[in-house]
Amino acid sequence: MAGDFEQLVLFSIVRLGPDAYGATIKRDIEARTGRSLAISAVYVTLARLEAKKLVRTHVGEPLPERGGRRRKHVKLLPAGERVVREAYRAFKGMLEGLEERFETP
Amino acid sequence: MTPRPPAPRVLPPRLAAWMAGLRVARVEREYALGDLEEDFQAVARLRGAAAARRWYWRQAIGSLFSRTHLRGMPMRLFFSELRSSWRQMLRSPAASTAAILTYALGMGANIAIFSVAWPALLAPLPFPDEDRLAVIWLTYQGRDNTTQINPLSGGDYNDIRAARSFSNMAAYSHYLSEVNLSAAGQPRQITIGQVSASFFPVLGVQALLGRTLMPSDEDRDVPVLVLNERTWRATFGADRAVIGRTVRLDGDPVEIVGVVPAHAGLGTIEPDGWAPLTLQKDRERRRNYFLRAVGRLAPGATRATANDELAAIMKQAGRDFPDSNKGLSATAHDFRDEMIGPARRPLLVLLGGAALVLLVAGINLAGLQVARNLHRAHELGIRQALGASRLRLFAQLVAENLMLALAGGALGAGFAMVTLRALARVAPADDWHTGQLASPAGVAAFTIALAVAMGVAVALIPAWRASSPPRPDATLGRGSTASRSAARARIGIIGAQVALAVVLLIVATLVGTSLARVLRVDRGFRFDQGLVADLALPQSRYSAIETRVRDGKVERVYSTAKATQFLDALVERAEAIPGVTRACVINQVPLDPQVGSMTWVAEGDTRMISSSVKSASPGCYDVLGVPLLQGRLPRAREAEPVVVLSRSIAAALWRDGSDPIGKRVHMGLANGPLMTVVGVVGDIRNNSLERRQGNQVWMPHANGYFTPSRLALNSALPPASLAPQLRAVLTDLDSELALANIRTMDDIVGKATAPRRFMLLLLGGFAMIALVLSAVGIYGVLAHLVGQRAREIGIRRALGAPTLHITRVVAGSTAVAILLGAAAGLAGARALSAVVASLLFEMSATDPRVYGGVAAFVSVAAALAAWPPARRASRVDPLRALRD
Repeated sequence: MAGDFEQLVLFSIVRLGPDAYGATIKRDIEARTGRSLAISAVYVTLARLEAKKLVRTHVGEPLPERGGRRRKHVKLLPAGERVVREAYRAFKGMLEGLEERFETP
Repeated sequence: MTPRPPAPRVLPPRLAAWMAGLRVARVEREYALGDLEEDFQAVARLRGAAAARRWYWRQAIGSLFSRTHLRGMPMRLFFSELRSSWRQMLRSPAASTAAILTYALGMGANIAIFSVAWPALLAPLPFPDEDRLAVIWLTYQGRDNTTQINPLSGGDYNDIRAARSFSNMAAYSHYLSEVNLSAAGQPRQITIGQVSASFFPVLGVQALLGRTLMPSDEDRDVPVLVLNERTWRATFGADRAVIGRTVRLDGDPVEIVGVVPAHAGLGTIEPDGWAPLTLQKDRERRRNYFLRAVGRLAPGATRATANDELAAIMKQAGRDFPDSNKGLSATAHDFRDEMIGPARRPLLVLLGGAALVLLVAGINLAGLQVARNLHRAHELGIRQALGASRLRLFAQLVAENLMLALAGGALGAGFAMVTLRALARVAPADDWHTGQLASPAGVAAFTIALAVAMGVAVALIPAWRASSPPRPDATLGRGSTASRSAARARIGIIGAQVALAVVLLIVATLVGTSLARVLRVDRGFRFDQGLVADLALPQSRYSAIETRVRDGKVERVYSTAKATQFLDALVERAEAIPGVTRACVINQVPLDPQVGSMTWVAEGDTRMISSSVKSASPGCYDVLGVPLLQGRLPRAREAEPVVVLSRSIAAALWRDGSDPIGKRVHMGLANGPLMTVVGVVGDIRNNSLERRQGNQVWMPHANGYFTPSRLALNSALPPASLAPQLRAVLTDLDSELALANIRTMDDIVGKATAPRRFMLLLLGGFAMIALVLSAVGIYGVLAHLVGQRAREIGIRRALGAPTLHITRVVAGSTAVAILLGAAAGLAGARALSAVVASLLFEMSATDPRVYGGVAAFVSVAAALAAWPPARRASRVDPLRALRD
């Protein structure tokens, strides 16, 4: 089972696919939830997800626009895929019949 | 058209980057910072560099305080305590404000001194491998067997530059020359340092624009000039097209070939521009000691091996040139010492003073902390009873203090910045490198480190004690009398604060009294309503080599008749300006850094007496207010060269006390030109207000030595209103000359006493902070005591204790503490007197009046602070006290 924030990160990784790494995940969650995110939080969460064997990471090439630093790309593992599906189903189930209430401001 | 160079890459703020990385695991830091930089660059492109920097800072702070990832981290406990501390802090705003202010005052003083002292004492100088640099001086045994240093002659330099211990060596002239620069608009006076082509390579300084000097520059038809960045910005508006431009220096064309950073000459010489120094290549000594040298040690060489080699070289020179070099040696001195040596001791004293303030604040806070913890004994007792571990309570108390310390540190850094901005204006810039305060990142790091250290140190013991297993009475809210150990702690706290305040106030008073003494010192001249301006007559146009016949021999003489004529006209025109009472020209006004010095030999004697030379027009005695003691003053036209002696040199030249009037002296050596003494004037404090160096030889500038470069006048008008008229007069006489540096005598005295004023300002400020903190601390401790013992006092009163008795309960131990503290403070000041003595002027560092006065003053101030709580104790209503 994954925590709230871990779920958000997992959803974001699914959406971003091969583009998933720290900065894009941070941007995606910030844009969709409207809350600002600390980069340190993203990395701590990724470390936890990796420890739970839900994601795998690999390191890219140094890039000039990153001040010569490398990117750490994230890929969803099958276990992660299952957790995301479970979370999605749970949410969807819980939201059934409540759409109108939450969709109207 | 040349393409625009690409905009320089914007870099994220380094301190923020460091902060952002703090809470990311070390191995992940690269990726996290890369992510931030990626977005940072995007923000920079869209909204500009400033917005991007602000964005980055928000990210860094957010990352530091993010709570998402607290789970499972060891710091979790602490951070959650920090949050509850924040709430605790808001719950008692008055006490928190008092604590934050105390932290701020204590730390502010230290942050301010740190920012000044760091670059001067510890920070690396802006020269690569500075520890391989050495400054080389000639050395000789002076009187009382001290080693004296002296600039080198050209021959000496040519000898020592062969030393293998140095991979490269550079020479530069000991004095700066003042020249008139005509570039665009009005001519401007600038200073030029002459340096060998190796000067910049030895120091490791690269040109910002263009190039530095090259050996071939010495032979060019059009001389070259390398500009100081400061001058390039101020005079040339940072125009990049300045390279290759020809300007006029004293009327002669000069090509600008480069711009070097403002620090390029730091500590060696820092003029507005550098020109090549042309040296003879031979070993002949010309007794012209005008060179300084800086060398870079060769790989494997040390300063010790270099000194051995230099000594050997100079020994050989002593054999080859016994006339000039007997007894002379040369030594390499530590570069850094040479640069910062003069500022070190005052800075150490200031650091010590600031540390004392920190100590006062720390004691004060510890007292406050003990009181607060006692106050909360009830709450802490309950929490412990409910199962909170001692560690948890301890962490809570430390975290609370840390919160206060960090808030105080931030406020203190604010204080320090404001203070420093004000101080930078009065700081003696030459000695302190005040242009180079520690970087904001350095200050922030220091502040955080200091706040953490202080917050933890202050809280440690009180917190440990307060978190000790509950005593049975704590939860019951009883405890009507204070313990013996608490009483001892109280005496300690009050005594220590009084002692520290006494020490600081004694040092500040001594420094202040010294400044007053320096300002009151009999200067020997009265330059009232004095105004001085600099001008530099170019030798090329105002002097000439003339051939004349004297005693049947043909002589080639250096004639300055044109300069004399010009200067006389200038004086006449200046005196005609309304508001100017009197004017004159002179080579050097008193307290001027520019020096002119010579040796003198009485006719028929061989002893050489060294003296300052004042080459002045006849009006100067009047303008400067130098009293004539004997004989007469020089006239505008004299039949033969004449001089006027100061009382001291007259007595030194003729030790039998005979009347010097009408006698003759040789200038320079015993075969030098003869001049007749026509008068004796009083000694003046010429080079420094603080040193009695009374030897001065005054001569009419018409004698032709030491061409005047100062216009001095008496006028009640402010310099600003007189400047345009003076400039107009000068331009009218010679349009290529500039009038520089118009200043009053007060400005000159102010500059000469700037280090003392600066010191006094800071130490006085520290002493005041310490005094106020001590008073507040004493008040706080006693107020708390009275509050705590209200019940006991009430019972005593109910039992019929007289008011005096009640007051004594509170005041008795306080008086003992104050007296013990004052005594300890006196002893402390006495112990420091050796260090302090070096800052004083004509007074003892253990002056009993200062010691007694300060001890009495601080004791009274402490007693006044103790008075309100003591009075309150005597008015405790027994009924209320018992009921509550």
